[in-house]
Amino acid sequence: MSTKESKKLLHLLHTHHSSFLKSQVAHAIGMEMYIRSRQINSKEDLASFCNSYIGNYLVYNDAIIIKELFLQLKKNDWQQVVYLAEIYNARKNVLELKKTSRQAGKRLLDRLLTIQSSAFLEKWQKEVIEKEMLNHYVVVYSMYAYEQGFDLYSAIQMYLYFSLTNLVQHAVRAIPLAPKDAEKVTLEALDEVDKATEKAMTLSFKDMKNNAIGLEISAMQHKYLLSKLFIS
Amino acid sequence: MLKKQLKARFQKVNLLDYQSEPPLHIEKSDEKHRIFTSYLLDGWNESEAPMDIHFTVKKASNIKLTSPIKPAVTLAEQAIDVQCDIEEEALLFFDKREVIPSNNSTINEHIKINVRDDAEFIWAEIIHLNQSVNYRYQSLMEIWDGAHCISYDPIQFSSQQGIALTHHGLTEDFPYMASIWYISPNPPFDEWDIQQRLSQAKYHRAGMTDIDGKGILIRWLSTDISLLKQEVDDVLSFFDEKITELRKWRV
Repeated sequence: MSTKESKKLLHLLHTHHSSFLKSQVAHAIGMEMYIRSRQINSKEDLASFCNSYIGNYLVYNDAIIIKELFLQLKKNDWQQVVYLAEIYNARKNVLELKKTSRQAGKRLLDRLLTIQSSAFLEKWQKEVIEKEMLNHYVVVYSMYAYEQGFDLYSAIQMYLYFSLTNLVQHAVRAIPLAPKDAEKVTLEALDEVDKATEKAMTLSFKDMKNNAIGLEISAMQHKYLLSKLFIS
Repeated sequence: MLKKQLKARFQKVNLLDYQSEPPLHIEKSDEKHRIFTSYLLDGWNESEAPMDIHFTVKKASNIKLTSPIKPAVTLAEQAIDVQCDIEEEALLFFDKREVIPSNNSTINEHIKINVRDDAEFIWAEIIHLNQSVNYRYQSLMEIWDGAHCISYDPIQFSSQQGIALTHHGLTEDFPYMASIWYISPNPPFDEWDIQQRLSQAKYHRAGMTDIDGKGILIRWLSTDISLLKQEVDDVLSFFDEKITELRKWRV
């Protein structure tokens, strides 16, 4: 890796790092229902959940959107960029998940614009004045990653990796799990992150799919809990 | 294989511009209802040719579409493209549909709905995720209000994903899945009215979400087909009752 590439990687890592802005969306509200019903009760269960979350849910939704946004930004086709944001918004069936994703998107957009000027993000900010509902984290992240010249593979890989670690961090407190078990789950899931990233590079918009019905139902049920551990 | 087409424009009590190619056809049903004009839609399962169905529901019409009760096992190849335009104040109620994939089947559905302003749309579907047969089921539900996409739901299951789908969060070991979409800017009920109709039985899961103020989506995963059908029917009857209460006063 050249010095220039290494610096870029650090920049990308920092974008996700909690010291920069803790805004990465987790699917913790879906996971919480599984933990409460004791279906996720061990590191093996958590590993199974992480596998489906990364390898089925994120790769066929968020990762494809990142890839397609890179493609359309490269073509400078703004109309398609807005269309993709529209589809991503409609694709998230559960209202609570939409809201947290938008909240994270708004925080990321505001923060990025306060630290540097960005043509795409400024244009996007104008776009979402009337279409606030489209301001999802993954859209802002993809625009920033593209504009900063991060390569697509790394942008997807980091997105998946930090989604994984965020989920595991939530799970450790809720199950609860020993820190060493959480580390084992994360390290074992790194293979899944790699495989998912490789897979995402071969997919396109028409490959988007939803088979995470259990996760969706859990997130729907979460709204009606009297006391909640997680809100995102 | 040549496409089979069906095209119809529904007014309050009439069917206009009706064109159909066998086996697809629509006929008025004998069912009497205070507000709905009910039709039977048949032929979906009788040809492997791709089906192209285009409906327009004219302003202020209340239309209910039902498929005749018969074993709904799919053919080996099934490709259905449904497009509906629902005008202001109109309502299209697509009654419960059951999809039972046959062995070595490929099912491809694309449902695209355009609702205008306060138009309403209801769709109910039960899918059998039978792991003992070889199948591939793909369905894309797109619901639009002009340029705004209300919902985009590309469901995909296949028996080859079997082991992968058993992971937590996917379809797990549940052999049945059901969905009900009720698109309306002002659904005539409270979310608790629906919640109380969803049981928390063991090996049966159900959830409901608001779709950004544009309607609701209810989803089930179940091991008990009779309980699942009972709940879906109960929710649909409740919708029918509420819609009737509200629309019976409209001229």
